[in-house]
Amino acid sequence: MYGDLGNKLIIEAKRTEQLTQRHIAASLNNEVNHNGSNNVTIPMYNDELVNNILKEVRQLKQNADYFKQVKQEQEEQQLLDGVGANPRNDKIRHCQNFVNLICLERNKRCLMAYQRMRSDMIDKLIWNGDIENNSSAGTGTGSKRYEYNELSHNEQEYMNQYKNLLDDLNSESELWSSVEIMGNMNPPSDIFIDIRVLKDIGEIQTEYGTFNLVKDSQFYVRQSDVERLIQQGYVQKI
Amino acid sequence: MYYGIKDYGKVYNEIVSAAASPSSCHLCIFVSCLNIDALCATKMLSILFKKQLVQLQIVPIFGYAELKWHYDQIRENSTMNSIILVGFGGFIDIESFLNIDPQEFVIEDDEENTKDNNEARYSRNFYILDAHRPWNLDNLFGTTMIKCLDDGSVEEDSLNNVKNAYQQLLLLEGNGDNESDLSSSDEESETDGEVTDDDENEDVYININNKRANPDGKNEVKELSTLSKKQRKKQIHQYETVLEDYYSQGTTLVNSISSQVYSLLSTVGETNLQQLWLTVLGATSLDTEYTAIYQRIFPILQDEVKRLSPSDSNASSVGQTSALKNADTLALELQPDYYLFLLRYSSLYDSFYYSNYVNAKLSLWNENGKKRLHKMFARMGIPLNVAKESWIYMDNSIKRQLPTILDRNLDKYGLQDILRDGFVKTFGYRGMISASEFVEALNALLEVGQTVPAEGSSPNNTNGEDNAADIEDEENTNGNENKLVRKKWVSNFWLSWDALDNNKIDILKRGIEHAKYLQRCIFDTGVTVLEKKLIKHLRIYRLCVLQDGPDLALYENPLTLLRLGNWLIECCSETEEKQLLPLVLASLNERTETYLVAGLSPRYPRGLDIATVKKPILNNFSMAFQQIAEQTGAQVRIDNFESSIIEVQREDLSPFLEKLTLSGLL
Amino acid sequence: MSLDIDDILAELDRDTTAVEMSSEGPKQPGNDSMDILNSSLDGTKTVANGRSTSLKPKIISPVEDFNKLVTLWKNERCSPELLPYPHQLMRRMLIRIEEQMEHLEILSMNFFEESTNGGSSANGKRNSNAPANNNKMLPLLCMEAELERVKFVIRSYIRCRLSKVDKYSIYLRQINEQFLTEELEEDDMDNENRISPLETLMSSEEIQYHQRHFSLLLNLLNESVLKYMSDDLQAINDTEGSVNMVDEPDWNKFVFVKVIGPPTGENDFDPLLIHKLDPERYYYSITIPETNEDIELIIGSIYIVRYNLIKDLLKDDKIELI
Repeated sequence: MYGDLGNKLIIEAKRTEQLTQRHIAASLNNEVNHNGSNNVTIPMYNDELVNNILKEVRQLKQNADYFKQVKQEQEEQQLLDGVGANPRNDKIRHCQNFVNLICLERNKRCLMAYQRMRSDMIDKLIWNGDIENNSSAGTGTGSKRYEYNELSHNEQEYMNQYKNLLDDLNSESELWSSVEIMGNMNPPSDIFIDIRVLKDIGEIQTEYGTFNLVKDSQFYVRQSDVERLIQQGYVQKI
Repeated sequence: MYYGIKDYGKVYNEIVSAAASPSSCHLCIFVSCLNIDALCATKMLSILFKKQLVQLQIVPIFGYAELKWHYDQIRENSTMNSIILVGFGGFIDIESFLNIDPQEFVIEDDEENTKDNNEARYSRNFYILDAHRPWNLDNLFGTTMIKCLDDGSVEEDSLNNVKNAYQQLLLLEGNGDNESDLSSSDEESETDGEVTDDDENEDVYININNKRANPDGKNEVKELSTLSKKQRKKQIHQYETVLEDYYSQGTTLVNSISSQVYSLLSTVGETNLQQLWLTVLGATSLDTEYTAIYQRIFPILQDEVKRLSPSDSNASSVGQTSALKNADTLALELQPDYYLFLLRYSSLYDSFYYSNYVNAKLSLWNENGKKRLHKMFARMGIPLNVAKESWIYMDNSIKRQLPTILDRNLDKYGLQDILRDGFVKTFGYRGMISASEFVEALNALLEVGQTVPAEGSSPNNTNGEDNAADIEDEENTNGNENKLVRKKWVSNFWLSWDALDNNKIDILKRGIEHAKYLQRCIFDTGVTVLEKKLIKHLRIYRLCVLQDGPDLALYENPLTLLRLGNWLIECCSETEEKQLLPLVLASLNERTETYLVAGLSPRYPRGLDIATVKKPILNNFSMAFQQIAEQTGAQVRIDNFESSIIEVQREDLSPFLEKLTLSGLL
Repeated sequence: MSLDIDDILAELDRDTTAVEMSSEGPKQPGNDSMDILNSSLDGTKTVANGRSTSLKPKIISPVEDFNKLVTLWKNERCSPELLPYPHQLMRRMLIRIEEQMEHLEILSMNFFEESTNGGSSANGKRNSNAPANNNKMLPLLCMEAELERVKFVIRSYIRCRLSKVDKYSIYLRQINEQFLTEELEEDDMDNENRISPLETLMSSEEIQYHQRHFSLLLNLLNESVLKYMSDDLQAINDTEGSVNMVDEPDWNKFVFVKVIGPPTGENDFDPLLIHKLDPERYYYSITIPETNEDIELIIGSIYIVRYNLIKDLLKDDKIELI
């Protein structure tokens, strides 16, 4: 039946949303989150389902064209025959056309809602800094990276552009850069914190010195020096 | 060089002012990861330094190989100017082991300072906080870059003799080189010129001087150089014997390093209840193996508890639970404690049954022993079904009378030591725990970590996600697997570390459960060993080799092996012959085809007034193991900071032991 | 949270504060006139005549600014719609933050040098019995911590606003479009003075962000959905026949409000404020349209009301959301 596929897509979207919410709730509850940051993960773009819906859309579009054509023909015919419209036929045609249109519209809404949900998630990923470490992919340790594979081609395009947008604004705006707009959203507590290193990172440079972040060692250091590493999940705040 | 306790404040000031910088990390603490005393001491240090806002790095380390690796990681980091070694490092010559050239770090002093004292100052200093003895003399009397935090044993034991020998020997050896140089250059000078020779001599002088750090060196050298070769050889031999005797006297532990840190805290006026509790834990962890140390420190700790506890609880005399208890009470009290196994977290019966002490005294491993235990309960008037109830729910009237009941009955069984004063900590309404119970939990956490191994699986499969990631990275070769297991032990260190926090009771509870599990395992293994008479009675030591059994994988961890060893040796000390023999315990690791071998020194049976009557028994195995490894060329790894624990290739074990029997080194 | 960085600074280091104060002085008149301009733009038609005396430069202390910022931050987080952007306040905050960062930099550099150079000699002289301590560092750290907090509040404030910009992206565009068409209709009567509503509502960064993000989003939707639709279904919002697709702020959301009123002592100058004698109280009156019921919002009290009833009072700073 028309619209069924759209329904499926929406159910999937809803489920994704719930999962993310549960994930975030879980990571809030259990503060000692193993990865340090509450990673949002995007499920695979459902290419097949979307394509099927688009196929259905094409079908519906054809139907619509057909109805239009029939209507035109009939009207021409009526004009030729000089006969008034057959109210019953008219009604049936009208109904068919209407249902067709509603299906079309519904599919459009489903697709848009799905897309919007995903774009919102992409936004979130970028704000969380989860994507950032990806741009330097290949270097460093086998950390859990965000894979681009889950995104459709258009989404990847979008993601890159959105990231550029933020980078631009960040470098242009004094205010944004001086308050570190992309920074941590937890209220700051201490200047110095305990961190535990979860992965071998090696030497990192800070403003006045260097640290050697060896797995399973613990540091008592300036929070601002390791903020980034906490977000990326290399170290864990104790 | 070394510092006595009265100089700790100076050391502390040195470290703090060297690390005083708002923006970088100057202090690194290396800590032995399988050692509760070191764990507590490090925690205390970290709390202390945090209060001064000193940034620091803490690295738990498994063994010497790892020490080297970790030091290489910070070797080039010029900001690291203080390195503290906690719980190890006393044995080895740190300077040469880590390939450190003190010259690299010498600070060019301004004149003012050079006048004041002749000690060179370094941009990097090593502080060794280690209670293992004997000290390595190069650390004690060598460069001032290495600073040993001594508890007074250097002065007390009048190491003057040794010190003298060490310095004379250095002098003589240096002089020897010098002389041979001289003689050879004399020959040369006859043919060539004289100018270059003088320069060379100068160089040698400088080297000697620095090595000895002795301002008066020059004169002596000149004096000595006049001695005849023969005399010198004789002297060298004489001094060498002194040093050899010093090193081969056997190893032991002389103090709790937590209590040493506590001394430091007293000097700088930073003592508090939290730190005291950590000290108590550190000291208590030595109770099983080094009872004398615990008994010596106990009265001091007792006084400190009284001093630091809020005054109102002073009113209620020792032995009564303070009536005032609220959700936030984190009080530390002196209470009658029972030298039993996890009494507050199991049942009265089980805590008797699994206690090493009761086990040894009653020989619980055989049927007669069990009967004796049941009879004892009957005599005390405690029905077995009551005794088997969980302690929390046990009849309150019995609980209250227990001290009197025990006091009246235990003498007959030689168990009078069960009842004694101990430290008990209250966690608000969440429960109470005694120091010894806490130590059991910490120990178990260090041994197995998050989860106990499932039946029959090797322990490295158990750490869930954490290890899974590591395994992916690394090949599954034996060496790497060993490394993995070790890495896991290092992570366990942090688990125990966290358990020390007041708000992490859940970890502590897990540790208690693990402890019960482990104690059951070693009990089962121990009983098997005794029933099957697996302990061979060799002439100068007892030998036990474990080659199979359900829990074999557990004994890959040195701590668990020692747990078993302690159980066995305590049983042995009560056996009929009452002969004080050391025990060699070896356990096969099937994956790596190696044996983990531990040498345990014998123990006096408990109940004798140890501290006053007898000298402590030293552990002779470290020296023996080392020498025999050299002699036989057996494939042996001596990596553990407990130098009496080594790893031997499977096929090399029996020749190794054979040699040990014949060596007469024990 | 109530402490301001500059406060602490003043206690620590009077010299630098004095410099700051003097640098603050000359700026003030300019700021204030802008403020007035700004408030008249907000549609606050009622700067009471009686207050004309207060037109003389009024010094706004850093503490006031910080308190204001925190209030705005709370309001923003609680209100369903995007509230007007405090252009002047944020400009001042930015200047202060930058000054403070510079100041800290200098302080810690000094400290750094002192500890590396002076450390050795100080060490030699120190009485070895007195425990060493790093208390000198403490003030520096307090200042740093305070700065971090201010930065956090601003960060959180902006991020909160941006999320609303995203959420009401299309709605905000519609406001703008509406304005533009109105402008066309109204000819160029007083065109120069008219400022688009978005410009008072948002900062220049936010406007840019809004526009660019919207076009990205539109592009994405176009490429992946809309271009496959028939011609008459290609708009992002089709209102005909079905539910509106544009998210609008939930004007009927219930909010907690605390009634603040005018600054103390100026009760009589507030025309909206009603004074009743028996029992004596000052209050604002609002009417619930559905029930035609009047509510007295007494100064100092807390109420739960629908947002659209109080949104004008909120914009006039008569109440706070909590």
